[in-house]
Amino acid sequence: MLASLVLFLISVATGIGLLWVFRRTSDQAAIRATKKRLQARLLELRLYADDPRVVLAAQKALLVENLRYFALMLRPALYATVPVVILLIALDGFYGRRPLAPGETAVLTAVLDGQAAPDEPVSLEAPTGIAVETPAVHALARREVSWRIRAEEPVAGQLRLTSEGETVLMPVVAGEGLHCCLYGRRVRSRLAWLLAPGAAPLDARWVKEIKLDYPAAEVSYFGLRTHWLVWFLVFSMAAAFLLKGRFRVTV
Amino acid sequence: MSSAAGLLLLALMSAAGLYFDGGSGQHLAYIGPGAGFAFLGSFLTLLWAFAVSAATMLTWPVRMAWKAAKRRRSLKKARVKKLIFVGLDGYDPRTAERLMAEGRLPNLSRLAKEGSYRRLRTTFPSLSPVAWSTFATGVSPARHNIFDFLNRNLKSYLPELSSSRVNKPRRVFKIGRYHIPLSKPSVDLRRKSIPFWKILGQHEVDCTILRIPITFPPEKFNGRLLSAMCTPDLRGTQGSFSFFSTRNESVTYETGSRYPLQRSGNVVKGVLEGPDHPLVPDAGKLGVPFTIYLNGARNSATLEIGGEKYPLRVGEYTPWVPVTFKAGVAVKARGICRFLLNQTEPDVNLYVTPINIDPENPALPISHPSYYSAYLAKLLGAFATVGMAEDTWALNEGAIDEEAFLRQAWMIHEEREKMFFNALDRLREGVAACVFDASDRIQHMFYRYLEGRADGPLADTIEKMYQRMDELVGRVFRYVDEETVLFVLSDHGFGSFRRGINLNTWLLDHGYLALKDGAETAGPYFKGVDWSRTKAYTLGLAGLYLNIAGREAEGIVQPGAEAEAVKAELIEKLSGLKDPATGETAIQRVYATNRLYRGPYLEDAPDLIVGYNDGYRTSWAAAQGIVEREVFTDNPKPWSGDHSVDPVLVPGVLFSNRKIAAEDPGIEDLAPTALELFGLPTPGHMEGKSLFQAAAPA
Repeated sequence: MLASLVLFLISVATGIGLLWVFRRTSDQAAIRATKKRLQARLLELRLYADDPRVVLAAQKALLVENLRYFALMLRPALYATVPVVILLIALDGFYGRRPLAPGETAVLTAVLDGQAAPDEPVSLEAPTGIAVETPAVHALARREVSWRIRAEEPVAGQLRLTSEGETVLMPVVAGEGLHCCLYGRRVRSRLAWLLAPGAAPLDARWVKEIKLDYPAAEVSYFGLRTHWLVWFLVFSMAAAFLLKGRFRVTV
Repeated sequence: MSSAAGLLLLALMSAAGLYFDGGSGQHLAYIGPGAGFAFLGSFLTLLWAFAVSAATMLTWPVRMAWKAAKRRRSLKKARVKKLIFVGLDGYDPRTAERLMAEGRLPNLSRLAKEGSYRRLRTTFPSLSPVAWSTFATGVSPARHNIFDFLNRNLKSYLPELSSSRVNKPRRVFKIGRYHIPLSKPSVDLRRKSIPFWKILGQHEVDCTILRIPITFPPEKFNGRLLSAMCTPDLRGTQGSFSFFSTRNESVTYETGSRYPLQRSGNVVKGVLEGPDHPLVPDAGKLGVPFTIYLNGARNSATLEIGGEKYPLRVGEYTPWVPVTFKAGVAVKARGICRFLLNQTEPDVNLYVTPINIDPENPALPISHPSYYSAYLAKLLGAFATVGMAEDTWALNEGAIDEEAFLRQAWMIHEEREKMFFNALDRLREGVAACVFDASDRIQHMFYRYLEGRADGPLADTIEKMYQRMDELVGRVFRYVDEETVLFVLSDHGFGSFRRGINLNTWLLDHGYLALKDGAETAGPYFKGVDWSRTKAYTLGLAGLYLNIAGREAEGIVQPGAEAEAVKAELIEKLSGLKDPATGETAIQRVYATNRLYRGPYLEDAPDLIVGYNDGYRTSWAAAQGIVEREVFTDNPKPWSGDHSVDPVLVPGVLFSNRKIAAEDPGIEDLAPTALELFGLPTPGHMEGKSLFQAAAPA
């Protein structure tokens, strides 16, 4: 419930924030003028419906105005993209995945470092409540080692992966409902870590990345369950639409 | 979720700015709701456009076949494909002929040489609403019911607008102080008869009619029309300006209002007054506050109104500024106006044009179809919508100077040109007609320069205007081919207005009008007139009315013999009336309307039309029903030219690219001509004849 409320508030705040970005970074006068011309051309289709020459000319003008409209949207869109992408990645850590349900399986993959031998043995040790169903499967070309694990009961523990005498931990969660900071990745590269900012960074010589393929989560509002991004889109667009007049923004 | 719903959702999300990495289902980018709106808006726009276009194209053969069948029946004798009317209000033949002789109007000269030029008989009286109504309908005033700008109410003797009437909503729901209308206010057009474009539309001839006077409210017909003269402003007047000043003095304007500005340092505040509160009758007028931020001594400032900011520079108009007057939730009236900062020191003076009905969101219908004005405004920019858009009264009353007036007039003219050429660009077959008013307004306000009564840097303004109109005609030539007929015409000419005649005073002096309690003067709209002893009175610009028993509420002149006798007396006494101060003839002739016209609305006509001589006109006071001490007064106003004189003195002009047969054409001939060019017979009620038919021998 709290998680749903927070997602709603973040979505609304994002809509407002993007309105602010649009107001600051877009050519509002040009957008207004372009929209008016677009509307005029639509009216022209009705006013001169009996004249195909005018109708075709209006269509051509509509296309041109649409292109102009997109060009005008480009600048604010570019400004908005970076912060929104970072926000979405962060939100995906909260809302994108869910813990394994008891009886459910997932694939755990370790991407080996380029210096390590591709068939170097890697051992996996799971906490109580998590069963390792398969032996390690090596994909030599991709330098990956994978296991299938299965949740047997609700648990929050660590998977222990060991190679070359060095052990790294990967959190594993099984149970019901959403779980905050459920990142299915640990990475060594700082750049790659930006895509999983809530996860602890890897600090081992033999492994570059560990991935645990949690199932996708769904969020429920008004009795409807779907991907959180859909709700984010709906709420942020609704907020922006309802408040654009107050912010004097034309989009 | 079903796969179809999923696809739809995916499409919507993609449209809304989300982009997915298909493999993992993880987002890669999201541009946000702005881009979402943009994409959705454009997508839907294009979708709609293509749907409409597809429908247009698919049904086009059927519609064209239907129209062709209809046209074949009615237009088999059509002689032209296109008919273009360029109306130049008040373009005077004397000035035009002089300038043509001097080689300064090459395009009109070419028309006259290759086609035809005639002086065009105007109507009685020679006033724009009367003459353009005759142009539209092909009938005399007694058949279209427009005799002046104003008519008098027969019960109250108060003036009424002759062309239209705005009626309050019929049903109102009252809750406490709120009066909530349950129906829309209706607007009646008082001009009768049928304009030629309506007849052409019935026969599938496409018509675009722009700003031809007396077209408010717009009549439904098969074509496009933008209303003109007598379209009110947002306050419901015929155009009342606002003048704001920090100077605390009492000034009263006849056609505008003065308002205070509150100054605190470089911040100046005021309130722009709009229409009456539509829901609370006693709440006064709605207002929109504004703030001006002065920028030191740079003669510039910033205007903030409605949350938007506009730069102000002394002597420069702002673009059209949208203003919204809110009367409650979802109850608002939208207008547009221009601001002109006259000065910033020592006092701040600000002029605001009349608040025009916003053509994008009109509070009253100003076009047909109703969205035609929105189309023009969205495509070409906002434009003046009030009937007499050029603010002659602001110049008359000193709220703006001559240069500011001229700039305003030409800005409005440019708007009109854009609309007209938009229509011409889209005209393949049919009619495009537009009336340009700058020619009339500029002559009204600058005529004293033309006749040498004033001098200065603007002395050649009228001549320049004539040349500019000639250039306009030159640009119209591009649209004229072998199958096109072009008419350039004016509704009347122009003369001087040096002296005003107060016929109410003359009637008082000669025993035809009486005042109560021995008074020597009467206030506006006959305040103080003793109707029980009054036989005749004047109101408006050209008419003289008898106080007829059974017609006027307090009439005393018996219709029939007595009325005819009074008319005969007045005609005899007033015809040839001399101005004692100058010795000039002030009134050429007085006409009895029952000898001028025949028609069902003759009863509503003035009983007499006064044919003033050049240089004279009804005085400003007499037009308002005022009785002064003096019959003759000087006209000191910038409004120094006029045409409400003997119509014989102020014919209009008529140019055509075709040879016309009529030697003495009248403005009533244009409507039958338009019909004849498209092969339609002249309806029996029309009084004009086609210009291409030779006049019958006398």
